[in-house]
Amino acid sequence: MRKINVIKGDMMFQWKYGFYFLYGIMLVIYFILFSFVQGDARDKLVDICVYSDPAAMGMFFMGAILLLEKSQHVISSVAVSPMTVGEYIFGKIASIGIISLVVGMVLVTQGHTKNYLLSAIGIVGGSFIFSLCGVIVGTMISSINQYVVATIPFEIIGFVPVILYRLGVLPDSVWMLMHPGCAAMEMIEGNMSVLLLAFCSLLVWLIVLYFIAEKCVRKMLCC
Amino acid sequence: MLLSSVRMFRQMVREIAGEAMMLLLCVAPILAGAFFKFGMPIANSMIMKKMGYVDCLVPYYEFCSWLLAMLTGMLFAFVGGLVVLGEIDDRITAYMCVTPAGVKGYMLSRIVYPGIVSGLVAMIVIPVFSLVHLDVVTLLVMVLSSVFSGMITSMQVVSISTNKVEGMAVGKLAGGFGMTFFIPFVITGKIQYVFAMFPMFWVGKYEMHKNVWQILIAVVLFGVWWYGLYRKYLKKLVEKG
Repeated sequence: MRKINVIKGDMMFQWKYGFYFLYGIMLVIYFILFSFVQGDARDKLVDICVYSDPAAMGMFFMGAILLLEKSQHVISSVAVSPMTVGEYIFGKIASIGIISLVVGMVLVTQGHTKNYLLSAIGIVGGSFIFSLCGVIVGTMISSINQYVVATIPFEIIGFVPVILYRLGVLPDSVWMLMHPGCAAMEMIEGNMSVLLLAFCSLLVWLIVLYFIAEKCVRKMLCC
Repeated sequence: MLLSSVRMFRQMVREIAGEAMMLLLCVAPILAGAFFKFGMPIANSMIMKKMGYVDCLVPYYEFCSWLLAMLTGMLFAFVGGLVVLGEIDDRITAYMCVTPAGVKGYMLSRIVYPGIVSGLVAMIVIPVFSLVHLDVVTLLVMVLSSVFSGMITSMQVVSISTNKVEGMAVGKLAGGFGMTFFIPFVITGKIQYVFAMFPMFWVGKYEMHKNVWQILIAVVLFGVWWYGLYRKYLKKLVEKG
């Protein structure tokens, strides 16, 4: 029950700060953009947009969310509340994951996915990965400028190989699925042939990043 | 007031220099410029080899210069906006405004001076990395419109949002302000005039037709946007204290 309340609280926070409104407008912009492209190029564009925006929104906003909580002393309240570190992180990534899922699925309908359920899992998986990266970086910074700079390596590593992979510039090898972004991309495409590998890769990365994030949040709550 | 605002600007520069943001500001326009300068011809020849389309990217080479100008303008102005957001959250904005610099000086230091710096940087990087020859008038329009566009984007972030989270959301949306430049090129017919309230739309029209009236409309709209947002910011300051 507490987990649901945490997610609800975070969602209300995101509603208040205009995330839903923002992504409503972003959807319109994406629809206009997609209307200029047809065929295979459109499918690729849709997949890349889904991966790089709704799925990655956690990384974009997490630093600002954590910094605001720090400046409003929410972190101190969390530290003395019965809420566990796991629940705190889960609340953050799940609430953002819900927006990512809704926006991502609306965008996916504009392209050609082979399996909608798989696309949904890919979007949520990608969203969790990026949000956890955002949590890790967000706990270590003290200003939004620092956050913007600190996330650049994550963005380069997170976006460039995956976009090149989707465009066919990088080889279509199973080894590429070691990259969580490529695994998420395969799932967003609804590619059943590499489902098991992609799923395992995402899961392993999620577990690793979660433990790092938990350690970082614990450290932040102690200080 | 001017001297105080310059001091405030220097203080901001020192602050962001300590956060590696300065390095990003210096490197990003050069990297983007190099990407356009060397990446576009490579992409063009790759498309020619793989798909058989001859010089399909060449007509868009001038757009790369526009994108570079906008990126430079946005980058510098947005940093000023982010600093203001931090200061709003730390509740020091109101105190800044009662220093000798005042509200105007504060705005100069956070929005206008970064805009001027971005203009100077753009004046250097655009000719260096441009794939096509740009005449002086085009270069000036490019640099000035991207500077104004960046400053208004930053002003939108500062005047609409009340904290960092809202600021990031507004900033994401406000990024589209400059992109309205491309509307006349991609949307034909009267429907494109839905975007007529955006000055960069008229800059795009000017780029298409080279009609000086269109640039005058853009100048007026830049002024209207700036005035409106500045009033909104003042109102916010009074309300929030």
